[in-house]
Amino acid sequence: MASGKRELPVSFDIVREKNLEQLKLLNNVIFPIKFPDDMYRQCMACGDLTQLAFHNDILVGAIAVRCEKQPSGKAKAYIATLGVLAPYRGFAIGSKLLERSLGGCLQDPNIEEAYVHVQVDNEEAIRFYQRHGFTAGETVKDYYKKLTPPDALILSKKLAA
Amino acid sequence: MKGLCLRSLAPDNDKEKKEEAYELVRKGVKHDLKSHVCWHVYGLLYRQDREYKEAIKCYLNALRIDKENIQILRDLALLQIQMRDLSGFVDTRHQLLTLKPSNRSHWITFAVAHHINGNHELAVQVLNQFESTLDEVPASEAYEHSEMLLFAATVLGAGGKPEEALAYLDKRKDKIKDRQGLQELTASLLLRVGRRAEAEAAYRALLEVNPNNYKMHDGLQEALGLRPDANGELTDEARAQLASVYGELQKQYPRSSACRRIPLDFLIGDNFVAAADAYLRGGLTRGVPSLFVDVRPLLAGPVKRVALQRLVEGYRDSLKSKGAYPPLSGGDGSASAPESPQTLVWVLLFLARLYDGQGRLEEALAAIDEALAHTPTLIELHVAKAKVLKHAGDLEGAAHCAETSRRMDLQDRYLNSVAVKALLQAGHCAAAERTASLFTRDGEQGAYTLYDMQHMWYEVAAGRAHAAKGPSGAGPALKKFTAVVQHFNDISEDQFDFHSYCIRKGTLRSYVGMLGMMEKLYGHEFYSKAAAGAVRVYLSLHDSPPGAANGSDEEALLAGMSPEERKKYKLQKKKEEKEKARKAAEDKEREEREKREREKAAAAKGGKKAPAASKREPDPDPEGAKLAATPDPLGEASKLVETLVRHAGSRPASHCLAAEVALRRGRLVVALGAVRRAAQVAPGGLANPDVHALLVRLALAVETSPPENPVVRSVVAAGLQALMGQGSARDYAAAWRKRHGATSLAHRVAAGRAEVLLGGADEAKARAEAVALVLEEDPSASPHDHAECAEVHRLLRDTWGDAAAAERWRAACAAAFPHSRYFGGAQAIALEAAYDFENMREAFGKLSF
Repeated sequence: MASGKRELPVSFDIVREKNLEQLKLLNNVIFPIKFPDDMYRQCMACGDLTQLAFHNDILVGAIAVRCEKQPSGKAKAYIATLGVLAPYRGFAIGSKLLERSLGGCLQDPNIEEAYVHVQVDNEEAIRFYQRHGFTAGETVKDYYKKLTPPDALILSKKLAA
Repeated sequence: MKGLCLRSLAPDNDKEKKEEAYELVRKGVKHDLKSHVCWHVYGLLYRQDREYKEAIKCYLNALRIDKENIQILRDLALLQIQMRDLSGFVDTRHQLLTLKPSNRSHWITFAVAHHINGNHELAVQVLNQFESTLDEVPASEAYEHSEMLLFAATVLGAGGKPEEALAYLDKRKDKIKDRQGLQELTASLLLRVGRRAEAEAAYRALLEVNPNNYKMHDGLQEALGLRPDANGELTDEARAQLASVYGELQKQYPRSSACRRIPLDFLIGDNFVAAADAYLRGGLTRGVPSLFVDVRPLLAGPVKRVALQRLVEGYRDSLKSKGAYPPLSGGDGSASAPESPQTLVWVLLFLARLYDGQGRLEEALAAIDEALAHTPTLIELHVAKAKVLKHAGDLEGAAHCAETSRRMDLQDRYLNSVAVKALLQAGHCAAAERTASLFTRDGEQGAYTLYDMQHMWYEVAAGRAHAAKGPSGAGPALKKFTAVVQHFNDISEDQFDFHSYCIRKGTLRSYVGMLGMMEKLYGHEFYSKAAAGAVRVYLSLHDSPPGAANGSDEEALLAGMSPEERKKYKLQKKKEEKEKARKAAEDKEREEREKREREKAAAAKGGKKAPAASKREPDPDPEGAKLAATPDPLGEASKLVETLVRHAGSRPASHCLAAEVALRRGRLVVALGAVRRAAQVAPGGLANPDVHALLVRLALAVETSPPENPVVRSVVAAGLQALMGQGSARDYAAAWRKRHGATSLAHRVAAGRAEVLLGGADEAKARAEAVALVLEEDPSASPHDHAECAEVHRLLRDTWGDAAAAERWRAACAAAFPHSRYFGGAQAIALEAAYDFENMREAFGKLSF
């Protein structure tokens, strides 16, 4: 997703009951894991942190984010999924999605940090998050039960507070 | 006494009360035969019950006593126009006008009466006279007056006087408020009188208002003398002129799609390819979902079809290799700019639908699957896949794809309808109803709401789905079909209110248009479909009456099954019973709950008010069991057939059904007439397979039980001879088989059926010959209709009882339709296990709006 030279007009929307199935279908195609319905419900409840990208009114990419309450009373934004359909990669749609979602996080002063799990060998994704100001943290052993390698790297970004 | 009669009119929902009212009024009439009031009331009573003929009689009686009662005259006129007693209507309106000429509406209605009675000249005279009595039109009535003037001009035009109509309009154009209507009427009149230059100017002005109105385009072409002739042909010269006209129009209205689409109709050769190329690219890049439907009419001709296909296949190849369109046809050959990746998906979808239309189903599915791998979130792909799978004989798979598409946008009513239709076609009637009810106001009483909304396509599709289930579906099928028939009666009734309303509002042109529409009401497609569906159910009820032989029927059915099938059947039955029990329990529970709620509500209101009356009376026959138990199915069928023949006489099916009913009732003369008319309207005439099968049956019926009456006998014999020639029925059938027997699968089946019917003593041999004839068909050789092939399979297996032949046919069809679930094709798609349509309690996606 490096080139970024070509632009594709995209519009954005939030996820709601009526188009939730589209988000599920999109993620089922992009990711090797099937996410539980609970995860989608939680993301849908978090309003505009979850963003859908449409090209010509057709869903081509999405970021699903949910808020996690911390004991301190503050909250963290957890990026559950961020994916763009293969033919539409290289048009900076993923970056736009992440920026919009993080922009939504900044609106909420309670959210102090955004973080994400990435499979350790997914260098492209790791570089992508680093470009957007995320820093690598600890590695979680055996995070993915059905994938190899099963380990996940946590990347996080402090949000201005 | 009279007072009593009147009072008893009020509650009219109650059957007993109604009887009482009639009784009282009759007493009143008897008591004083000379009272016009009594007769009037009697008429009103009949009118409320929609017994218009009786009501008219009563009114006429009342008028005999009191000749000048305006109220009664008015009521009578309403009934007369409703019943289309036109001359009576004219007379009554005339009387009203003479009685009270000061009333504006009396003048106008009198004119309308003359107009619809075909007397246009008198209508205009009346209007003119009325106009001359007016001094000044008050501002509040200016619009009504303008409508009247336009109506008068329309009448003049209809009466064959376009020139006078033009002059009439010209004189009054300042008073006419509907400028657009005036312009359109003037333009069409100019065209009729041959003032072409003026007509052209008028149509160009109208195009300025809306350059996408196809009617105006037609008018402009007409004015330029550039319309195709009777055969749809244009001269080269005319084509060139049209091309230049449209070249200018496109420059003038660059945003008008009509100006770009219309040239595709008349252009040919390279010019067509260049224009189509530009047009298709625009639509595909923008992702216009209706593009295929838009250009579908062009596919009728092979030349344009091949050209379009070549263009779009070229896009596909180029987009795949270079990510851009190929150089433009007829352009300078320069490379095109890169396209969005999505364009390829739209191109694949277009191609899939193109292949689907030509019966190239496997290619169509391959294109859709390729597109789905690219962009699975394009909903149209799932809809198109459902459609292709239906053609490929996988109704269950089609229902699954349609359900997927519906779940992708739960607020889209179109997708909901697509899913409901696919569910019905796959036989999931309960799931379909629950899904459809997601869009009704009151989910609980979904079926009522669907009925109230006159949801006709649903009812026709549901009726067919139930009817396909065999004898057990007869009741629900009849329920749905008769509901549609009832809707048409209601629509016809509904015009009653407009007779007075339209006159009061002065919307005369729409009113006359509505009257014309009502004349053709029962010729509507939905009526034909529903009535034909009901007739078929009645016919099967007649052929195998339920009840009497129920037990032995089942045994016979079981005996004819293989062990696995028997097991499946029993399992199915158990499931059905369980479902029934569960449903009954649910209903009971619901009823009790509602009762409790009602009581609670009543208690909350302090018992002052009786339980709300809004709760609807439960339908006494929700499953249509009473309808199916009719003692005279043929009688019911012939009533429907009569309407069909009268109003949908141009459809061959109407006459075929009429013949079916008449044959069963032993009315040979009627059957003969029906077969003759079917031969007149059916494509191919006597060569039409349906007509042939009926004709042979008729000839056989005449042979085996000739009519007793010698006159009838000679009429039928002469009629048959006129259709079949001198020889015997056998000779005729043999000749037909020789000439048409191999034309198509349907022809083979018709010839085979005739063979079996006329086989006489050696039935087995005739049957073997028929089977051989049908099996010669190769379903893989050319595109076949899956439903027809399945029908033939059932014919071989059940009607002709030849299991080996049926199996051979199944194998051949499985090869021809690899996706067919019915024939057990090798490539039937995997189904989504989560969609358990048969045990669905509630449709997915109930939204809280």
